[in-house]
Amino acid sequence: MKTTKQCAKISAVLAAILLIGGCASNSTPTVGGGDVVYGDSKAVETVSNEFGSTDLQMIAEAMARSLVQHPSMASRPFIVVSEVKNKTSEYIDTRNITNSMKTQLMKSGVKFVTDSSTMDAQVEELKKQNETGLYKNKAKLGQMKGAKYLLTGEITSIVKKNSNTKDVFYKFTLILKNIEEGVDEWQDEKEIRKTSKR
Amino acid sequence: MKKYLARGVLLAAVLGCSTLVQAAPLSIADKVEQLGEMKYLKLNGGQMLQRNGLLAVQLEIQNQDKGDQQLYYRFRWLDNAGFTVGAEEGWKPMKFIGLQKQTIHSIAPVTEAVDFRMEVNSPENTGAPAAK
Repeated sequence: MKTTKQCAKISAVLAAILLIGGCASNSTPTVGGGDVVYGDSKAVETVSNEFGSTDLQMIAEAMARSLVQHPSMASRPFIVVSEVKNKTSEYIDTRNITNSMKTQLMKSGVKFVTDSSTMDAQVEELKKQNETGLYKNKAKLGQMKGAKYLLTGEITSIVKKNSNTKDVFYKFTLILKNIEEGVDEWQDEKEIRKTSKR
Repeated sequence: MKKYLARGVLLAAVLGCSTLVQAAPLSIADKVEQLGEMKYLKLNGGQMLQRNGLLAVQLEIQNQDKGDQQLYYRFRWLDNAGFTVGAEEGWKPMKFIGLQKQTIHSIAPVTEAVDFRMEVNSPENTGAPAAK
């Protein structure tokens, strides 16, 4: 029969084991030395005042939300995306902005037709299906839908500096043009100011 | 006998349904999720309505401090079953100068959205959960 002292010793040892076990870190399903950390892709990025991910997200969201509520979108017309001109002094991949906008608009039900970036691939595929004689059910020639509207725009910037401050003002303008009539049906802009200490 | 039994079951069903408690609709303030208690930036009020088939929301926030304050916010849109619809939004920064009042507008990305939640964060948050 164990004495009270022996029971106390065993309890203390068990408690210590549990405590150490609790403090020990769990293994994680990761590989590597831990120098790389995944962050939040939606976080506000303030690394520098150059065009960044937050600017891209804000512009795409603002433009998409503005366009989707315009009366011209009610009939779900076909739209073609044209080049957005970069008139800033930085390198900005404007295709990135239009891709994000297009993704958001498509989720809202807006329809897009083939634009210049994918036209070559589509024509190539059509030719392959119709001219090689290999396909049973082939996509017919002359069936592509024409767009009613053209989406185009530009991004500009104004950069001002003094001895201790750098201020960058971006303005993104997007236009929806009626292709047949040459009328600008909708236009909106998003302005962003980023200021940093030098 | 069967007729009385059927009537009894029907009555019991009606009485049972009438005792169901209907959840009170949330106020606009309850739809704002504060990441920590907002010390200086306060919600003054807001409204939501359907516009062209899309849910439109407008909220007014006031800076109660004399100094500048920074707000980060984003919206989450819900359908009538409470499921999130639309893609996750990016956080948007908004600067308030001392004592400034600003209105935040947003439109839901999809017609299925009938409700929203707004997440807000400010560097001046206390870090403690917001008091209800």
